[in-house]
Order: sequence, then structure tokens, then C-alpha cells
Amino acid sequence: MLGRILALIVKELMGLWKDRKTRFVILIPPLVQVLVFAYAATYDVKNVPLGIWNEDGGAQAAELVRRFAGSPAFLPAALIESPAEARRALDSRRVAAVLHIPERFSADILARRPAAVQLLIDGRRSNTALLVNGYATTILADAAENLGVAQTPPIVLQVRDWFNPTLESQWFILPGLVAVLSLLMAMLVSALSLARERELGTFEQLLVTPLQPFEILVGKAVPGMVVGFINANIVVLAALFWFRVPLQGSLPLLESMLLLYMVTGGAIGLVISSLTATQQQAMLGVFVIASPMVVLSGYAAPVANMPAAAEIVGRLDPIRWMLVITRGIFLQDMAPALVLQTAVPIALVGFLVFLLAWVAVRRALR
Amino acid sequence: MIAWLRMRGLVGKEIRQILRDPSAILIAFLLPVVLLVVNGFGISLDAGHMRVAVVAAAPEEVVRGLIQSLAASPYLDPRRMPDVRTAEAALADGSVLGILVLREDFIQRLQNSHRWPAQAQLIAKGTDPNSARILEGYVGGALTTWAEDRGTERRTLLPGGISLQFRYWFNPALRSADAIVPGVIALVMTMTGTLLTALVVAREWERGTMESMLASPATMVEIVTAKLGTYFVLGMASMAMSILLSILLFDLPFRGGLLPLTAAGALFLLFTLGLGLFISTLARNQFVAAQIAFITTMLPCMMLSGMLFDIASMPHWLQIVTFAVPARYLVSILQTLALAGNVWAVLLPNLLCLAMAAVVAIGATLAVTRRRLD
Amino acid sequence: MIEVRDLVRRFGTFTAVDHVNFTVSAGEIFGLLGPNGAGKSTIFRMLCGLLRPSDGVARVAGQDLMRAAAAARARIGYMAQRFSLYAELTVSENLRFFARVYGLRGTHGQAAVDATLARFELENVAHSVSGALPLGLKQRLALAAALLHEPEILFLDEPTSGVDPLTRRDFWTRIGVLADSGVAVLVTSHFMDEAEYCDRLGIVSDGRMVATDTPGALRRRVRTAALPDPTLEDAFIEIVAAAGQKAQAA
Repeated sequence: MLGRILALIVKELMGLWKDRKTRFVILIPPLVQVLVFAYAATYDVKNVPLGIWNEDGGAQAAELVRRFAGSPAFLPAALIESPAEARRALDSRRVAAVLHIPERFSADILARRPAAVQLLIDGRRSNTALLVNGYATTILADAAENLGVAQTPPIVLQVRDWFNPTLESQWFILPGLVAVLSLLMAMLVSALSLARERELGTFEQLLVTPLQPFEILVGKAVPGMVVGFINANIVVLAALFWFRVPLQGSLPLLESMLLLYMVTGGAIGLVISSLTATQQQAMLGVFVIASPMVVLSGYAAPVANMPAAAEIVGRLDPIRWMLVITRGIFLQDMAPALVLQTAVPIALVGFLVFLLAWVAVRRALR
Repeated sequence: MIAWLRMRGLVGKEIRQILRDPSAILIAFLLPVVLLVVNGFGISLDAGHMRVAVVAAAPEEVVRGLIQSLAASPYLDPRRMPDVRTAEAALADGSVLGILVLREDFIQRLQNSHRWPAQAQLIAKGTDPNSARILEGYVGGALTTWAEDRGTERRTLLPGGISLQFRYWFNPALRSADAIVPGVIALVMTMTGTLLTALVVAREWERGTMESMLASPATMVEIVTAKLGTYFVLGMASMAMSILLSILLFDLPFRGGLLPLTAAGALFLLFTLGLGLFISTLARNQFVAAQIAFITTMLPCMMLSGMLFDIASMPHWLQIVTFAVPARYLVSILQTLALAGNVWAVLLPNLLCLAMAAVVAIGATLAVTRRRLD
Repeated sequence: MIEVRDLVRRFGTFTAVDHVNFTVSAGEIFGLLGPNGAGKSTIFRMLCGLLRPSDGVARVAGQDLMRAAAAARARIGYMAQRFSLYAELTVSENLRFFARVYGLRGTHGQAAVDATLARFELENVAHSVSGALPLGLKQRLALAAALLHEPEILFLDEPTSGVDPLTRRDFWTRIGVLADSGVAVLVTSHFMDEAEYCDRLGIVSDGRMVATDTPGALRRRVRTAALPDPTLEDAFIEIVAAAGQKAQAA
């Protein structure tokens, strides 16, 4: 039995490797994606185009403007002279925020009266708006101090960020990409492998041979697993050596968890394929399953933000648990016991799904 | 160059193929529903009920007041914990997102304005930088409110000081859904558009029917136009459904006009369909076409369209790259139409870029197909 | 070697195979002839274990292949109608794969592959990509792969469709040699002239086996004064027409 499975695996890998286009598709795009997405996925707010509406000629107002303009978070983009202009600038997205300093500002500061400043923010990008809020408050506090305003706040909040003291977005995104990209590729390749065989007619030839359905499934899952594993490690290497994400935990542990994870990915691809008739349908199936999986995993937006129902369904999602593991091993030196515990749902889902694929293929043969 | 009788024949064949293989119908109508529901409900940048552990060495009544104040914020979910060690364990295993620590001298320092500021410590989990920053903002705000309330009670507010007033344009409640759902619609259209056509041509090559079509008098322009036309109709129906669904399910506002919406949708659809055909023609076999389609649509659309991550904050070279991602233009148009209305200063340049993208994609397809003939 | 008794296959209300009976012994070449849609392929697939019969018995070497262990499947060879080997692999890579799948490993497997390459005169193209071969060579490769493991029973589904007459004759010569060595061969075909090569023929029409006999006997059956020297084609047409009339009368 082992010999037959091995023969099938060798044949599959040869087939993948021989086609120049497939070789290209397996290696290059992951590399490109890693580089692009790691730089794209930034939660930092930088260079926010700022409109400056200064109705006050005084030195204090000028000082405030200087501070805002000088901050890396903002990029002065327009001088505003009227409410209509402010409205136009915001509507047309020429600026994402407008700093409005009223006439009395400098006078109020000098007279030690409460002074007010207004910030109009484009709410179309809500996350940015929230972060702009934070930056602006900080800038204002610094400005107040400098302006000699008697404002010692009653409370100062001192923040310490665990594991990622400088809040590098990439440290967060890259371990996530390891999990997401590899599973998508594993699912896609294994689903297409099986669908292709059936569509081209070579599947029947396989069925007539001594190969049992179980052996065929294993053989068909392996190319997906290999491709996914390679992809995962491309991202790992990029993370470690290009982006210098620290690896606090154990690499062998990470790799062994990845192997388990790939088995699950390959199995899911097989199930999708066994329920469809053509390669196009298989691809569609993978898309339909993959999208919710990525979203519910907490890759793009935190699990904590999801409605309760979504969060519960998400517990079936292997990506979700793998994200915890990759982020944990990279940034947290996660204890092996905890890693294994987190890996249990992955293994369970993989086993059940493989069983499902086996039943589906055998049923299809009747 | 185009014989209408032949076109009718070609289009008829495409229609019959679609009706017989449910894939296309599923892509056009089932996939969008799935994507919308999942992404719309699943992706939320609205942090709500962020669990914060509170460890405070202070009189009981003060701590209770603080916790109430924190709980009053719709964004925070405070949990009292006896000591820092317990709290740190909770932070490590993820049951809380942050720890607010108030040491013994906090209350004394707070009550004596000469000893201001009193220091409070927030320990956040830096593995998720976005949430960490948001948590910082909310906790800071809640603390300040609490201090001010106490101040009002005891009249220890100082004169002077600068206050910062915020006003949000278009999305006063800062619902992330209103900003994200347009992005999801763009994602849905990207995927459906490309998927509808990505395998079509490759499949014909694989099955050998392409050769017989090439042997017929139909020109390449006719063949490509017939495919594009048929799938265009399907795609527009799909888009209409997606928008209606968004309005129904997510209360998406729609303050813009139907004309710019249709124009944007049509142009974008032409682009994605063209892209799909291009991939399909180049790949010539479905296996490769599928992988390329997958890679070039889903993740780039999510990451580079401005849907989740702010383009202006990306490195400069990457911002230039996003100009080549048409989803970016669509997201901008949709966000504006939904929340702002017909702001032509935004709509026109973006529509123009979409038009260019469509021309490039279809032109490329025709160019590649013509070459394949010899 | 091959035994078919009261074989039935229904697809919903449509009966594709209706109580078919025949046997094939070792060393015999049995041809299944019939118009398109008569049920030949369905019978084939049930015998190969690819389809479950609705009723009746389809046994190969005494075993039901649907339930059989791997060892039983190693005793049959199958050549599909369409080229169903791996187009992206070379000739020898394809053969090596099937050798391993049939349990011929290591040096034993390599020897089998080499012997097969020689036997089928494929040595020159051993390293050519299968998909790029001309049709005749593809057929030869498919046959070679089916015989690699020296099966006792051979199933050939329309093996010579689209192939030139010379290649066809070469093919049938090989089949003859095989049969002489004791292999039972079951063939389906459209071509009447090929039917002459078979030891016995079964004519299938509308799912029913309407005649089973040697080619000569079938020709003699339709000999009349008007048709003193009928070809097999005449015989076929007559028999199928007669069967059709009988079915209508019933």
C-alpha cells in the first residue's frame, strides 16, 4: 500500500514541477505577496493629509500649527479660508482632516481662559479617524505644555506594550500571513489536483488499478501539502530575515505544527473537490470556503470584535487556531503545552474532513 | 469586422453553456451572498467590549467608582482582579486585552493638585498594534472623564487649559461597517468578475473546443466580445443584488446617485472580466488559471484597495503600486457614494481611472488572443 | 475468465443494460459490437469495477472487481477510449508510475518498464512528453501501460479510434499474439473490419445482447439468396434491425 501511495505522490510532484507555469505560480506570487502585503498592512497612521484653517493671527496659534504640521502623522495639504472650502476639501478627499483654530485662540491662551480648537475628521475611513483622534490629542498636550498653559493633567496614562513594544504592524501581520497563505494554497492545489484528474479522464485509469480510494486521496492531498508548506516557509524566511520579526519561540515546534496544519488544508481541498465535478467548480468551492475562513480567523480584524455567533462558528476554523500559534511562537515564546493544546482543533478538523472526503469519494464511485 | 448573425450564435452558445453548468450562476449569485454576509459581519474594526483587567490599590469605594466609570464606556468591559500576577496571566492567555494598574499612591496624588499628575499604568498586548492603540485611547479617555467628574464634585478643576473638540464628517458614529462594506462590495465584484471568466477560455483550450472555434469564420474580436458581453450581463445582475443586499443587511446608507454607481460598476466589471479572460488565455490550462486568478484578486483587493488599510499610510513605493489596483478606485467611489453623495471631484477622476483599467485589460486580452492564433 | 450473467443496469427509469449474458475464456478475443448508446461502455465499466450493477453478475477471474482486493485488480489491464495517461509526463515516467502502482518495484519494475519499451518499440520516444506524441504512438503507449504488469485479462474500449490503418493492423497483430499466450481480451469497436479479428462477437442493441457467435457464423446467419456473400457489416445491420423489429412487436 505504501508503495502505491508513494508512486502516486511522486507522479503528482513530478507533474507539478514539470509545468513551468505551475512552478512559477507556486514560488513567485507568494514571495511577491509577502513583500507587498507586509508593507501594505500597516495600522499606523502616517502622512494624513491635513487642511489648516487658522483664523487666528497670533503666535500661539502659529505654534500649534507648527506642531501639527511637523508631526509625522500629518501632512499639511491645504490652507483653508472658509467653511465652504473646508467642506469641499473634506468631501473631495483632498484632506482627511481639518484643523480649525478660531480667532480667539491666542487671546484666550494669553488671558488664561479655556481655549478651544476643532478638528474635523473624514469619517469615511473610520479606523483612521479613531487613530487620528489619538495622535491629535497627544500633539495638543505637548503644545499645551510648550505654550505654558497651566495644564497639568490630573492623570497621566503610561503605556507598556507587551511583546511588541514599538507596536510594529509587520510583527503582527507576517505570522498571520504564514498561516493564511499556506492554507489557501494547500486547499487550492489539492482541490484542483483531484478535480483535474477527473476532468481529464485519467481518474478512471487510476480507479481500475490496485489503488484504493483511500490511497488516491492521500496521494492527491500531498501536492497541496507540499505547496502549502513551501509557501509557509517562504513567508517565515522573509519574516525572519527581511523584516526581522523576532522569533521568541521554537522553530522546530512551528514547523511541526505547520505540517499538521497542511494535512488539514489538503484534506479540506479534497472534500471540496470530491463534491464538485469540474476544476472550475472546485476552484469556486475553494473560494467560497476560503473567504469566510480568512475573515472568521481574525486575520484582518480581531475575533473579539465579531458578533457572538460568528465567533462561535469561527472556532471550527483551523486558520484561527494557527494564527494564535504562529503569533504566539513568533512574538511570545508560547509554551509547547499551550501550543499543542491550541493545535487540537486543527487536528480534529483535519481528521474529520479527511473522513468526509473518503466517504464522499467512495459514494461517488457507486 | 463583426457579423451580427455570428455574434448571436456565439452569444447563444455562451448562454447555453452557462445554463448547463451551474458554476457561473453560483459564482454570480451565491458567492456574493456568502462573501457579503461573512465579510460584512465578520470584519469589524469597531472595537467593542474590550476586556480590561483593573488592579487598583485604593479604597474600595474609589475603585468601584472607577470601574463603573470604565464600564459606562460602550467600548470597555472592565474586570476587577486581585493582583498584577493574575492579571498578567489573563493577558498572556488572551482573556483580557489590557491591564490597568493603579498603585498605592495614586489616590493621594490625585487628591492633591500639587502632586499632579498621578500615574496610572496600562499594559497592553502589543501583538495586535491596532487594538492596543485603540484601547489606549479609550482607557485614557475614560480615566480623564472619571477624573473630571471627581473634580467637578470637589471643585478642583483648574482654570485655563486647551480642549480639543472632534467632529466627524459623514460617519458621526464612526461605524466601521459604513466604511468597510463598500470595500466588501468591491471585493465581491472583483472575485465574481474575475472568476466568471478566468476558467472559461482555459477550459475551452483544455477540452479542444477552442481549436474548432478558431477554425470557424468567427474572428477573435467576435469570440472575446461574445464572452465578455454575456458575462457582463450576468455580472451587472450580480452587482445589483450585492448592493441591495448591503443596504438591507447592513443598513448601508446611500446618498449618491444611480448613474455614477452604474457607471462605476459597469467599468469595474469590464475590467475584472477582461482580467479574467486575460489570465485564462495566457494560462491555457485551468489548473494554472485558477491559481493565478486566486492570487491576483482576493488578497490584493483586501490589502491594497484601501478597504482595511489606509493607503496614505503605506510606504511611498507601495502607494504607487496601488494605482494599479482598480479596486482602489471602486472603493473610493463606493465609500463616497454611500456616505457623502455625488461628490464629482472624487467621482470623476476615479471613474476615469476605472475606464482606463477596463481598456487596458480588454486590450491586453485581445492582443494576447490574436497572437495565439499563430 | 470473464463471466456476465443476467447483467442489468438502470439509470432511473432508463435501462441501459438489460439482462446481458456472455462469457470470455482465456486466450479468446471477444468483441462487443453495437450502435452508439447501445450499452457497450456501461457493460465494460461494470466489469472493470467502475460502476455497480443494478442486478446480475459481472465477474472477472471469478471475482467481482467492485469488491475485490488490490490483488484482483492487478490481474486486469484497461485501455480507455480517450488517452487517459498523463500528458505532462514522458513515456517512461508514465510507465514507471503504472509499474509501481501495480506493485512492480525497484529493479523488478525497471526491468518490466525496459522490457515493455522494447516490446512496444517505444524506446526511441522513451523520453518524449506523452502529450506531444502522435495519436498512433499514444495508443501504443496506452496499450503498453495496460500490459505492463502482464495481466490475464485485457479490456480495450474503442482502442483504435482515430488511428491510421497501418497502425491498426499492427495493433491487432499484437492483440493476436497476446491472445495466443492465454490472455482473455474483451474489445469494443465500431469498425466492422476489425470485428473480423475477433474470435467471437457479441452484438449489443438497446441494452440487450442480440447475438453471440463467431464472425463467420454471424455472416452465415444473414445469408439469403438476395445476399449470397454478406459482409460482417451486412450481418450487423440485419441483426440489429431484426432485433429492433422484435422489440417493437413485443
